[in-house]
Amino acid sequence: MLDRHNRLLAALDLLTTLLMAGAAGVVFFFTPVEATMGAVQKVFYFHVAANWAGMLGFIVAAVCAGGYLRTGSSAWDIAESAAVEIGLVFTAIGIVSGSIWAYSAWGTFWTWDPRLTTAAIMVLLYAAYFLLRQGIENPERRARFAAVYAIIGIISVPATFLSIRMFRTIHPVLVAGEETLGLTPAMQAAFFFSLAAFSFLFASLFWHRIRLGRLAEAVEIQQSQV
Amino acid sequence: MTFIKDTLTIAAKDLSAEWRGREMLPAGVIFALLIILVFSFALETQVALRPDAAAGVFWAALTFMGVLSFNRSLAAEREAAGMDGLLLAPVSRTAIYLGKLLASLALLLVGAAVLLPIYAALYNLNIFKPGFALTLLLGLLGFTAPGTLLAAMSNQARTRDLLLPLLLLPVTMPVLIGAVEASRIFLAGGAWNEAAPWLTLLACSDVIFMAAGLLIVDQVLEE
Amino acid sequence: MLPDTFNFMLIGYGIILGSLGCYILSLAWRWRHLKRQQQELAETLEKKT
Repeated sequence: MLDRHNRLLAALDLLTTLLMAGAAGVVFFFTPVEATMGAVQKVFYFHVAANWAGMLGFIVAAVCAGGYLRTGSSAWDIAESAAVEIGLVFTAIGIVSGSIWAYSAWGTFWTWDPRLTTAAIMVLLYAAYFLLRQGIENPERRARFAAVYAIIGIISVPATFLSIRMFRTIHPVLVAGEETLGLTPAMQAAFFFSLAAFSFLFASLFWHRIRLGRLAEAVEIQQSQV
Repeated sequence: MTFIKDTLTIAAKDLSAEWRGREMLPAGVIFALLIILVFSFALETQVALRPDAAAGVFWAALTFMGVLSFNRSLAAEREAAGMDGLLLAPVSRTAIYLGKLLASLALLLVGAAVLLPIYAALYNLNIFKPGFALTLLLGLLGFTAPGTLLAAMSNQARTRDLLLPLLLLPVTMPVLIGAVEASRIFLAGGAWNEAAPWLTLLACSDVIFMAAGLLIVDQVLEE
Repeated sequence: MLPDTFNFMLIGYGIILGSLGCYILSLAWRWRHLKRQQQELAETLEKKT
């Protein structure tokens, strides 16, 4: 049973590695160089994919939180914190890579664009999630409170995005976002390839992180026995 | 029926405790005034006299006052072991949540009422506008609903006072943006239909946060 | 005139892939640390009994 799981995981890892290498290959060698921004536009493919994986992580975490509150099983809690952690890593990567692209294309690291600002607030929100977990010793209570916060977080994120967008339509920003980019078919192919590769990367990291969480739980139980 | 009575009893209990002790309100109001003072130097708002900056400063002050008061409201219960008593009493958790929420909201409204005349004088603003009053009510409700819930959680953590602002502020960002924008419009003499999208945003956030709080509170309050 | 932003592209991908690599390393490191801890705990438990 366990052995089969390990083999499945190894297969997933291999597939993910191939997909990531393939996506990088498509991005670097098959997409045209964009006419106004130059080579830096290629950051776009992995940048959007990283943000997608980050969002996926937070949504998966909220689903796991719902599962925990319904069943009270620690497996949901482990999956939830794993999803939040990976979501945070991907979102942070998305922000930093976006900043570099913005600096090259627009001459500024940061604009108060709705997506950027929402991403920044999300990072702060889910960083607070881990501070909350850290502050509670009782594992059952920690899991319950974390689940509550993950659900409140996912409720507030779309509202935040919406409100900042309303804010920005009234106070227009100087630079336009990505929607002004026309994507050629080759660019679209690379874009969807990257999205798929990052989805697999997310799945494989998620599995590894859950395994780590299970091991940590086992060690914690052992510690209480000693 | 008993539910409404329980809710009001708990709210009245909190308010009368505050009336007797007078712990939270004076501290909150003075703290909020200090924040307005700090901002007026940091942003030099008296020089510019811009109502748009003034609305932001006011909500920043109310936000910090709110964080202070939610922390205090639940810390007082913890110190007196009042929460255990409440939870043992035959009262639903939802009623406890609503009662605490009402009391906090009332306190913040009173605080805002004390603060507003001073603030109006400092910034030379006309604050007697029905739209602004509605914004104040909706904004504070949207802030208090998640605030009460998260304070109940952060109070059971090791880093309690430190944790609440970190948990609360990112979550209530939409409420804050809506409240600041609507206040800005009303204080600048804008009409209702200008502020309508922001009031809608506030009302929707209020409903969502209230509903979430009522559904989730059973998971947060425990013996 | 096409701007030369090749270096920015390299920095961008360096950061994306580098951070991912660091995260994977941190997973591996935490895994090894926990495994070692588990073994030590098992040994102390054995000594006791």
